[in-house]
Amino acid sequence: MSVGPIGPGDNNSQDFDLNLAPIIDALVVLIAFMLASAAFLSIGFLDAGISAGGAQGKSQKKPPIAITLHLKPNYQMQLKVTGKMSKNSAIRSKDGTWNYASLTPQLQSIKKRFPTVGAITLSADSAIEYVEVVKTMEELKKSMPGVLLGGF
Amino acid sequence: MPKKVFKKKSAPAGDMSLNITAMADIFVVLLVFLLKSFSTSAINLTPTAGLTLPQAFAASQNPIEALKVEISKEAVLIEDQPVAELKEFRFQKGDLNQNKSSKSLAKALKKERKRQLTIAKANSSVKVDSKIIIVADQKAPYSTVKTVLASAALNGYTDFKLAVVAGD
Repeated sequence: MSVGPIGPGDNNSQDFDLNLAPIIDALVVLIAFMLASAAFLSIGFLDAGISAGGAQGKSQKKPPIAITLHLKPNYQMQLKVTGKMSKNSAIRSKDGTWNYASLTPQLQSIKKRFPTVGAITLSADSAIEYVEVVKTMEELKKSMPGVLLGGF
Repeated sequence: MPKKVFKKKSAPAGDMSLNITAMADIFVVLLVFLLKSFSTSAINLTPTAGLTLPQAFAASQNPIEALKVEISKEAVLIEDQPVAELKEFRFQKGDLNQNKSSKSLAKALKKERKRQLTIAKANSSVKVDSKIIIVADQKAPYSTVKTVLASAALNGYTDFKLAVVAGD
């Protein structure tokens, strides 16, 4: 192979073309690898405590009331409040689903009366599906910051 | 003689060169986008095939590193290892304790807790916490979830993080 003259001349030009083909090759391999390993499902977390046993909370004061919501078959709910306030109300289903429109104002009025209450215990009948529990938890979080899972 | 303004267009050559610079630009943008969305969590939270997570819009999307317990149709898995057998999402009757916990699951969780405590004892920077990630199928009955929670709580895991598909 002949080598051109070293020094001033045509071969010493500053203009040259970068060979992009191997760079493209590397990028294609990288993109293929990342697409294969990427998780397109965006996973989030719902915080839940436990209403029986374990560490319940940092506050030393006992809350004035205890609120419990129990999910029953046929989309019926039972809201129970014990302590300084006593309440036991059944919330019937509406349009074949959970009647959150009736539950939320009740919880909000309780929260208004007892602002120190920060948690509600959620329990459900054995046959209730997990998706319904999660759906209700999400709804409860709109009115109460803490949701504890109970029923055991 | 006047100069010819319009030259006869020459026929296109058979070999043409692709503009690689523009292509490289596209690939770089794609790569940056993919790198941005790439999860950096040490825990692989992709649910196993056939498991459908419930959807929640108010879920926090901060990555959490904790012990992962998965409830599928046929088994309960701890860190992708089956530890308790299920039949149509239900525990076998003989596997249940009187306190509604599962014998096999409680045993596996106890082992995990022991392992965590041993690591924490050897390495002061590692702290044992009560967090546990529950990855359950949306069709799982609450009785099964309750049994898993009870087994976890018995072994000191009381801070439950329920994995859901985060809505927009």
